[in-house]
Amino acid sequence: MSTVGSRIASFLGSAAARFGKVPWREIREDAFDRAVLVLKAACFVHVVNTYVVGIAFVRGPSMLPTINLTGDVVAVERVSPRRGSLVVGDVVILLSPENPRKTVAKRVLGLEGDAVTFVVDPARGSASQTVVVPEGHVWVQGDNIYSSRDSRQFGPVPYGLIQGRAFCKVWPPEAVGLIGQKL
Amino acid sequence: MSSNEPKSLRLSEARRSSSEIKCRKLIMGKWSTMWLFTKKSVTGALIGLTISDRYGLIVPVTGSSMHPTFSACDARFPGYLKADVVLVEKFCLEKYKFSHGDVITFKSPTDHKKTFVKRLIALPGDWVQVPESSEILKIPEGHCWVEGSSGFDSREGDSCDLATPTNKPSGKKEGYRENFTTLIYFVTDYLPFQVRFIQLLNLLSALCI
Repeated sequence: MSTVGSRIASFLGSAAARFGKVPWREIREDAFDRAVLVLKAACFVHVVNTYVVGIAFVRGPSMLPTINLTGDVVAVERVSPRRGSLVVGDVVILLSPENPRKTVAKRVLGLEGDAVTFVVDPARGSASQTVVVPEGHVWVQGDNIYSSRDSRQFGPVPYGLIQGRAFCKVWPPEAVGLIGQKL
Repeated sequence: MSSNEPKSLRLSEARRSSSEIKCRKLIMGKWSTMWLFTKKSVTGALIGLTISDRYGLIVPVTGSSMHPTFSACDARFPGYLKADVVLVEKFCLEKYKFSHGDVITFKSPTDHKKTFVKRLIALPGDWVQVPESSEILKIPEGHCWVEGSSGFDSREGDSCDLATPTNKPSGKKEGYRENFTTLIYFVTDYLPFQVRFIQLLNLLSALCI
């Protein structure tokens, strides 16, 4: 019994000695440096994503045939909306004016001051209407006008809601290519 | 002689090369401090941009449309120094949950480069009466109604007189939910802290007496 007890005591004593010899300060400093590096990398990723170029997964039927129903991954550049250099025909990613937690992809058909002519309800004939886009707004429409909720329903969209311009498809591999200006 | 010359040569060479070495170290030192400075400032800029986009930032508020809440001042140079400085928090942009009476900042629907500060009056689904007219509007989904505190003010600099989307001139403005942040403000003359300081003194004096 005493040998077992003494063996346990010696084991605990040596474990405590080894615990004391572990270089805790170096480990702490190393962990801190690594955490700061990870934080810096995260900030860099955020800045590049918000100000230079990012990726978005777009799906839904409203931009057929440009963007697939089951979803395409597109590269979105953030420089042109910030500079104000969008043109008619760009596919843009924007916050939905009906629900700011949802982002949608549509094509710009009219900038401020343009007169946009659109078919009001394509399923019911070709009656069209012309609207002048007010100052600071853009008119967006999906490429698939039969099943798209866009400016024909919620009106012209303020320019500040636009998050980026989708200029290139990157996935799936058979769909890779630039997104064109025309339908 | 022959042993002296090489020594003198070597000495002068040594002097020249040591001065060259010092010069090169100085240049290298300058470049390395410049590089260090560049690295640190780029890192600081990245971190600052991330924090100001996602968590919070500090901005001065100009204009007189929120008069009793923020002191009125104009946006040009001398008036700028009197502006209230506020802390804007961006955590609310995750869920877009606002309450009536929040002071928010947002991008103007008519000019995306300008940011305005107003108070939230009505949320989606509320009914609101357009001031100075007997019209009643229902706020649609995804929109809200903002107003300044000081009432009808149609001066250009305050942008209180922007037309609503239906092109009605009015002193108030219908805002869109874009880039909204809630504002928690600390006034520059530290009024809340003054009040608390006085309360603490009262408490201390009450305890002592």
